[in-house]
Amino acid sequence: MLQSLFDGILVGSILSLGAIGLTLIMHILRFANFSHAELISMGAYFTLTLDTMFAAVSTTLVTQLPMLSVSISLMLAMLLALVITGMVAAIIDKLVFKRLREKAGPLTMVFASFGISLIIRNVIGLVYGLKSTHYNNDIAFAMMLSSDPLLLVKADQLFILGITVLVMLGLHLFMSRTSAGYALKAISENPVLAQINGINLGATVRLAWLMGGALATLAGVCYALNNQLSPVMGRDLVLSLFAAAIVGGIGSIYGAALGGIIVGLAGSLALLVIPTGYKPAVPFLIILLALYIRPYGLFGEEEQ
Amino acid sequence: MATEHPPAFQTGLIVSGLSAGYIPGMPIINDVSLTTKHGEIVAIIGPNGAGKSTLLKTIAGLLRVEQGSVTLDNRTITGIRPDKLSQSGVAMVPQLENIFRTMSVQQNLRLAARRCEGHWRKPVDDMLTRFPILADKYKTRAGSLSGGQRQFLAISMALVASPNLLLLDEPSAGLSPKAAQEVLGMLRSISRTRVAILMVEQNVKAALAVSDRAYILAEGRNQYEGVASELLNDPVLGQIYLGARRTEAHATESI
Repeated sequence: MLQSLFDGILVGSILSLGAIGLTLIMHILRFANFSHAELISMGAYFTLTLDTMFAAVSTTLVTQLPMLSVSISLMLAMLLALVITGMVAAIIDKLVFKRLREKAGPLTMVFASFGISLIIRNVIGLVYGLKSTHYNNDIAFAMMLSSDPLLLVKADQLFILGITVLVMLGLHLFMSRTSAGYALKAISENPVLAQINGINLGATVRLAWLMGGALATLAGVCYALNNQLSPVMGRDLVLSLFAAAIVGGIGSIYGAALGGIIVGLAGSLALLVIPTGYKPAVPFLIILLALYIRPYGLFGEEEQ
Repeated sequence: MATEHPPAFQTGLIVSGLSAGYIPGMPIINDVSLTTKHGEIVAIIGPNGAGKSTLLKTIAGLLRVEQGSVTLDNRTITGIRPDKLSQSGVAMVPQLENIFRTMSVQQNLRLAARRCEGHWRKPVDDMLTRFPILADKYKTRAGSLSGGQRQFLAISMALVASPNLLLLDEPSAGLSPKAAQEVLGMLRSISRTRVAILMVEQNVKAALAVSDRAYILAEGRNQYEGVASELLNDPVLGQIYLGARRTEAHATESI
């Protein structure tokens, strides 16, 4: 039970990172962006490429951080990949979604997002191959933090939890203390009112894509550290991300963070009572339950 | 940056032959012209669907202008983005959804004060002094305010950056008679700071009572203009609002 709780919170925190970007974009641009999950794969693979490049440039960078399988080059690669993926997300918006916003409707944008996700997934498969891989092939041993009840934890997992908690805290400060954070909240709630209060719609939408791409990269790297890199990791996570965003309430960053933890915990705890093969159905059930009980989510606003 | 007291030579708002709408090639307002001087309250009245709100949105930069021009204090502001306009002296209070419900009163005011030069604290404090009810509700979630309090918050958000032009879309809509009277009554004190006020209002009598001049808009076009106090007793108003003109026209067609 304790192990399931820990695993659930860990997976949930990774989902939260991905769901925050998804919920922001869904609320601001009013469409379900199915390609958001592929930004997770993209960011993770950008990190892999940059990590390989940095490691080739300097052997010092290959040095691993104490107790972790994470190297300095991987950290640097991740930081750069955050920016690159965020920019790619903003470029995709400019080339595809912005045009559709002006000339078509939300439904067309949803179908376009399916197309983009297929393109990204297949390009990753073409470039990196379809086999799964790891940032580091060394075996990471788990520490036994408790024997009864059993709790096995890897140092990398604690590192992931630490990173997600720090990012959530930073995000909270950003949203509650900065003008840009206020602008994001305002555009998300009422774009017209935000504009007549001096907020640049285009710049704020770009900021949302940059943030979404960066957080997706972080989620991808954390997911790959905990599991493995695979071209289909985005596809595997997409339903859970939507479940997290819906449970939390579309548009709510705090809701998405909590929704991620709830979905992660539900998936992990469900394994105590159902066979592993049914695990992918858990996000479906959560979405159905959320829509039935509280369609606007835990932190969402009921339409008035 | 907007100034609190525009110099006397500034002309205020001049709208000339304005046509605009939501779909290109299908204008809602056609060839509309009007003026609003500094310190003047001008009402736009007319039946539902006349294009009154569309006119305000177009002046605020929210809709694309198909023809015509808008100038404010001799500067052409046609086609300028709404966020840029709001930073150069144009403020608007929409009819509905005119505050950020999920944010506190403080956050709403702080957000609106982004348009001000310098720190947000001073202009926000000025608004709290001007609207003491908002000071009492400073940390309250804006969505939980009463109708009148919401409208005061919306107006204070518009005024926080000391605009030259204030556009008000149905400021008394959905308010109790007492709250509506308070809101409309406050406009006179706002106009004394030489702000040009252009207001769309369904409550015709109340609007004309506080306005200096008024324009009547019907089917997207200027139909009539005059001094507000004279319009209050003008039979044209009755014709438009009681449907006399329409009935007459239909009768002619059937003959």
